[in-house]
Amino acid sequence: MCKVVPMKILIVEDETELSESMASYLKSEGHVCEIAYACVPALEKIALYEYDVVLVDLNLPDGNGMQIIRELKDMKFAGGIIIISARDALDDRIKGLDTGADDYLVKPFHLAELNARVKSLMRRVLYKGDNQMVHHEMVIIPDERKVYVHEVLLDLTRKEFDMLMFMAANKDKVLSKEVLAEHVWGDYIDSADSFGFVYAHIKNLRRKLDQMGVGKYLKTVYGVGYKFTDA
Amino acid sequence: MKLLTKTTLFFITIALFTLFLGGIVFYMSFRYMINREVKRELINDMHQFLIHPPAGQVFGNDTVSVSFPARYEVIPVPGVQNPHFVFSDTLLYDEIMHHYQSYRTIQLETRLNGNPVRISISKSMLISNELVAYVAFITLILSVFLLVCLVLFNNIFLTRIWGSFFNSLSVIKDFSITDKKDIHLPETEIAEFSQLNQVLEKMHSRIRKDYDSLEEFIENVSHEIQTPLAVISSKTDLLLQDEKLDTAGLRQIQSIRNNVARLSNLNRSLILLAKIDNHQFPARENVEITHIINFHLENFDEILKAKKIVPQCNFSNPITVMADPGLINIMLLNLLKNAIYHNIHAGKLDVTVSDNVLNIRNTGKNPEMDGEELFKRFVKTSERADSLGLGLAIVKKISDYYQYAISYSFTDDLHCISIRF
Repeated sequence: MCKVVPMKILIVEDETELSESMASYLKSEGHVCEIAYACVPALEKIALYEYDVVLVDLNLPDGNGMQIIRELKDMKFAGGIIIISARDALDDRIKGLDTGADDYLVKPFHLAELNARVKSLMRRVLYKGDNQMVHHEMVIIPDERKVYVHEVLLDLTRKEFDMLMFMAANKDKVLSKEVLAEHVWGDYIDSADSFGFVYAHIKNLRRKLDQMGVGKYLKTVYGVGYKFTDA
Repeated sequence: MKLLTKTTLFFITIALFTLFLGGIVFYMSFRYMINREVKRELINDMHQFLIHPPAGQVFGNDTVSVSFPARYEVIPVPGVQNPHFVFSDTLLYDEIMHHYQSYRTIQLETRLNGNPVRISISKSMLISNELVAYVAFITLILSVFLLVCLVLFNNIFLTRIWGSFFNSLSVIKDFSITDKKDIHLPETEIAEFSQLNQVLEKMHSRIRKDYDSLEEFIENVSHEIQTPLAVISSKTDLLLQDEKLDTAGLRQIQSIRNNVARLSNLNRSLILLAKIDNHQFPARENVEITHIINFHLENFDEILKAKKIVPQCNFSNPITVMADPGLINIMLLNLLKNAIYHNIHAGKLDVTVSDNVLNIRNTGKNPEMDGEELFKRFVKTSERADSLGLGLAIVKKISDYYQYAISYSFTDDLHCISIRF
């Protein structure tokens, strides 16, 4: 079982429906979420409370989200910042990351992708170094991109590791093959080809896990995709 | 054609035309006046001759040269038929100079001492001809001098008067809509040019305003469309986790999710095309084409292996271009994606770079459309109806933006797209 570390997450997003969906998904992962719908309430919240991760939309009704990032940096914020924006202009991305954001997600995004990014950020920013994920007999060390089963190194390709890691980060969640394909191959995968492709990779991954005597955690959800479970 | 060349040519044409016409008129009138003068002198000489015929003159068939510049000739004739002055031009042999010279001759048939004779007096035209030639020569020298002055004057005039115009022109030439600087046109005391500058400045600020609002509009549209798409996609993500849903329900949600993704990609691609149209990619950096191709091919590795395609790369030299790295990245990604996904199982993929040309050759279904058709928006093959049909349109747009020559051909069962950088 992955180490569940409940985090305090602030979501700054003016679109109610979207911020609630995000909160709902992240809460189901055991995190505590608060939502601010504009710049001013967000600035009030960060002044009053401590957060581990702040998710910021750039286009807010009363200003630019960049303002919040600058404020966080000024107060030596120790947590992680992820920009969520509809703008995928390269310029914005670089500007955002220069200002001190740790990651950039372009709308629309998969909630599973958001969750994986939050987790990876948490590892990178909050627990530098010692951050192995334990799932029963499996030990995943993300920094080294290695998986050990009963202390034996599992021989995985880069993409197989990415896939396993992504599924482990979204444990008990139904992940469609498109989400998996997009996470692992990004722009390189063509949606029309993703089905057979993801299937082939999952098959290989399963075979390798089986050979090492790992339990059947990788479940197929018929017609949709896959799910990583405890049993 | 440059203003200087144009005006100089114009002036020269007018000057040559005027000088030519003027020269002809001048020559004709000068010639006419000299002729009249010679005629008058000849008539005068004839009268003098008739009043005081020179003494010791031998009359007969012999021709006697009396004096230079006039020659006198008296020839007996059977009868006086035409008692009028007759003028003619003749060539006579000059014994001193040993060549023929042109003479003007006056003839009169009259009775001299009761005998009918024809008296001819010839006068050399040498001096008058020389005079005409001399005057023509002076005129020519003057014309050349005038032309040289005209060109010089035009040069000075243009730099003096049109100087401020050229200054404004160079400012406008450097103007780029994408850099947010205001333009400063130099002051001028010429009313028309200062008016022109005012109009230009006004136009510039209007273009800038329109451009900014267009840019803002595009950003806003993108934002406005992406946001509801993000809401739909997040809701479907949550619905997928609903354990009460059966397989059929999950499939429906899956289909919604995929179409949202398609819509979002479409939106993003159209915004990219619009942004290129609006020149919103001013960045110019050294981008190495072969480097990016290698990077992309590495990322395609598993997909290539799954399709049993072994890419053959042949880079004889690296190509470095000055461009926006993001755009070049997208262009090469789309080209390779096209060559890989439209390929057949265990097909061929050749990527060659030589000199300034990139060739991407791949096997695939026989072409369903002509070369140019391929680069149009929303053109897709029947087999892959779910693709957006924008990938190659974006490639074309980017190569047009940087003025790369792109072409498509189908030879030896290989589709080939080549770009000359």
